[in-house]
Amino acid sequence: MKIDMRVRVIASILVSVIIIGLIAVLNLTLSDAALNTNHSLKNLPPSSDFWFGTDSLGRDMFLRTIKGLQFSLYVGILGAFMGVVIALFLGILAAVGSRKTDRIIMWFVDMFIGMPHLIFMILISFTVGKGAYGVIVATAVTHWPALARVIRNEVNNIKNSEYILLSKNLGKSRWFIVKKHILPAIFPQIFIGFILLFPHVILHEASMTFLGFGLSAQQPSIGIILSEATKHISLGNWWLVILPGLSLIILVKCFDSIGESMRLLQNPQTRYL
Amino acid sequence: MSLSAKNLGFYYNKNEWIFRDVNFELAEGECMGIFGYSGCGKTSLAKIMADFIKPKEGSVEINKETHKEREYRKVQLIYQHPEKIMNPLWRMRDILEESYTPDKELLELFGIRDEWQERYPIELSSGELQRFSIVRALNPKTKYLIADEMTTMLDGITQANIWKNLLEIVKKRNLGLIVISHESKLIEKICHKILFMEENRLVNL
Repeated sequence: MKIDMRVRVIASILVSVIIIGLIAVLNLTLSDAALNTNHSLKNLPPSSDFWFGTDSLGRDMFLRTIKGLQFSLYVGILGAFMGVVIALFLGILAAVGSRKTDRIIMWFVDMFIGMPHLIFMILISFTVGKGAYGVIVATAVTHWPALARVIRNEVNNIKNSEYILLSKNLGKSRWFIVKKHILPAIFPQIFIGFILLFPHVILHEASMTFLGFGLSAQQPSIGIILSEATKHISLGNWWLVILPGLSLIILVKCFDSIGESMRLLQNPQTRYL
Repeated sequence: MSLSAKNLGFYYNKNEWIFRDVNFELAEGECMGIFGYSGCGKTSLAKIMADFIKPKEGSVEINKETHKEREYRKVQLIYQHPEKIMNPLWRMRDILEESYTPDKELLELFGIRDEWQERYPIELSSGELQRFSIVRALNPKTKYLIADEMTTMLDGITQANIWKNLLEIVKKRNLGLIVISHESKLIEKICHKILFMEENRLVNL
C-alpha cells in the first residue's frame, strides 16, 4: 500500500469514527426539551434554526433524528453483536464438530431462515415483553442464521488446508487451532458480516416500530419518524423523509467503510499495495 | 525402534487404487528413497506416513503403535510446497515457534537471516520458505523425517549445501529419513534402500 493510499484508508476510518462519535456526543449534549410539541412551529422547512425542519406537531426534526439514531445505533450494535456471537459459536461448532452436530445446527439454520422473519420477531418481542426490550431481544436472536452458514462454509474451506493439518500434527489442540488459525482467517468475514447485519437489524427495528410493535409514538426512533413521515410526504414535506433517511444511510455507510478499511489493512496481501 | 508401513493402500476415487499392499520398515538412522514417475502416489504415501491423510487400507506403525491424536507426531513431513504449510497471516517467527524455538546455530546452518523472521510468508521466496520448513520439522521430538522433493526450488549449490547440513543433523540425532526425489543420483548416494513405487519393489543397496 502506497503512503497516500494508506493515509486515505486511515482517514476514511477516522471520518467514520468521528461521524459516529458526533452522533453519540450530540445525543449526550442536546437536551430533550425541544422534543416537546410546539404548535407555533408547525411544518417549517429546513432553516438555520431548524436544520431538518419541523414536523406537524412542531418538533425539531434534527433533534428527533439524532435521538432516533441513538436508538438505532444501540439496537443495531447490540443485535449485530449478538448475531455475530451466536453465528460464530454455531458456525465453528458445525464446521469442526462431528457430522451429527453439523446436521443438527444446519437444521436449525434452515428452520430459522425458513420462517417469516418479521412475524417471528413480532412473536418473540411479544413473548419477552413489549417495548424497547422486546425489540432488542427479538432482533438479537433472529439475525444469526445466514452468517452462521457463511462462517461454517468458510471454516470448512480452510480447516483442511495443509497448515492446519500440520498444526494438528504438531500436537496442537483443537482450541489452539480455532483460536490461532481459524479465527484470524475468518475475521474479515466476521467483520463484514457484522457490518451487513447492522443495516439489517436497524431496518427490522424500523419496520417493527413502523408497525407499532416497538416503542410508543412519542419516543424518537428512525422507524417511527419514517412511518409518521409517510403520512406527510404527499403534502410536500420532503424533509421529513429525506433528511432522517439520509442520516440513517450515512450512519450505515460509516460502519461499512470502517469494515472495508480494516479488511484492507489487516490482509497482508493488500497491506503494501 | 522402527517406522513401518503395513499393507498400505490408497485411492482418491473409490476403487481406483493409486497403490496397494505397500510394505516397508525403516529403522532409526536408516535412509530410504522413494522413486517413481509423476502421479504414482509418492506424495500421497508421504502424507499418509506423516498422518496428513488416513490410508484406505493398512496402517502406519511407529514401534508397533499407530499415530496418536493430540500429540506431536514423530514422523514429520517436509513438504514440496512450503508456502502451503504456512499460515499466510503469521510472521515467520510464530510459524517456527508453533513447533519449537530453534537455536541460533541451527538457523545459521540453513542460512536463515534474522530479518526474515519478522516477515510474512508472502514476502519470502519459496526457497527461503523451505529453509524455515526444514528447521521447523527438526523439532527435537521428531524421530523420522520425510523429504518430499525438498530442494527442487533451490539452485544447485544451495541444494548441495542444505542436503549436507540436513544429513549431518540426521546422522547426529539418529533420525530415520525418507527421501522422495526425481534425482536418482541423489537417492543412490544417500539411501540404504529404494522403494520403486510403480512396480512396488523394495531394493536394498
